Amino acid sequence: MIKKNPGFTLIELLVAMGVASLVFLLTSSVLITVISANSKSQKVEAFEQVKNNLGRELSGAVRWGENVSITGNDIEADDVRYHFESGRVYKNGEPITPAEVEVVDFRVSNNSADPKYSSLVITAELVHRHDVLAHDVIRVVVSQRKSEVSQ
Amino acid sequence: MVEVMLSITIMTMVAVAVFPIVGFLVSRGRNFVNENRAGFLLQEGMEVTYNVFLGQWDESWLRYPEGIYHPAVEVDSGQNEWILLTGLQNGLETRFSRQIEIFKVCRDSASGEMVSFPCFGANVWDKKSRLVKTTVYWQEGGKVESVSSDLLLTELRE
Repeated sequence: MIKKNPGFTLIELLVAMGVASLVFLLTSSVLITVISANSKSQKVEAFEQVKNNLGRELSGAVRWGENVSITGNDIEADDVRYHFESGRVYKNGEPITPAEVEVVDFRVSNNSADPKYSSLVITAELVHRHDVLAHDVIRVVVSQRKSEVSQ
Repeated sequence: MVEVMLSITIMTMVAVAVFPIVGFLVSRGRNFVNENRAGFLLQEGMEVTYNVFLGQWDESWLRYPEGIYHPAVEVDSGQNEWILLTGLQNGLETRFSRQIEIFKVCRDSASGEMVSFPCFGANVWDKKSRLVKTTVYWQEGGKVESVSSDLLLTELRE
C-alpha cells in the first residue's frame, strides 16, 4: 500500500520562516549587544590602565625623588623632567601617554606643609581620541618622602 | 501552535543565557572605574597625612590626637598647605566617602615591637609613631563597597 506524503502547507512554511526570522533577529541583536558591551568594557579598562600608569609613574618619581620641584606645570624629580605639550605628557622628551589618549589639561601645584619636601597635586584631564565617552579627570596627590634623619 | 511555543521557548532560552552576560560586562566596567577612583582618593588621604606629620611632627602630635579626620587645604600667607579636619568626608566626586583614622601606637619597651592593647606595664605609648588607617566607601548596586589601607608613620631621629 502506498502511503501518501502530504508535505507542508504554505501556512506551515510561512510560520516556520517567521519563527526562524524572529530567532535570527533576536540572536543577532543579542550578539551585537554582547560584542559592543565587551568592546566598551575593554576600552574602559584600557583607558583606566592609561590613567593608572600615568598616576603610578608620576607618584613614584615624586615620592622617591631626592630633589623635587615644579616650574609652571613641569615636574622635575632628580634628573627626570615631566612636561606637558600638544596633548601628551613627556618624560625627558619621550611621550609616556599613548597617542590614542589626548591629555587635554595638565596642572601641578604644591600644597606641602613642609617647605623642604614637596606634596604635589597633579591633575590631568584625559580623552580617548576614538571614543569621546572615555573622558576623565585624574587627580593624583603624592608627597615626597623624607630622605634625611632629623637631629 | 507548536511553532509558536517552540519560538517562545528558544527566545526565552537565548534571553536567559545572554542577558546576564551583558549585565556582567557592563557592571564589570563600572566596578573597575569606581575601584580606580577610590584608589586615587585612598592614596590622596595617606599622602596628605604623611605630609602633615612630616611638616610638624611635634605640633601634629598634639593637634591630631586619636580620631577620625579628612584632608583639607589651608591658605597660609598665600601658600596652600595640607591640614586635617575632624570627621568623615562625604560626597567626594558625588559618590565616595573618606575617613582617616589616627591611632596611637603601643610598643614593647624592651623590643620596640608593636603590641596590641592594653598598653601598660612593659608596654608604652610611642610618641613618635602613629598608625593611620584610610578608608574610602561607596555605594554600588545597593551594596557598600570599600577600600582601605594602613600607614605607619614614625619619626626617626639620630
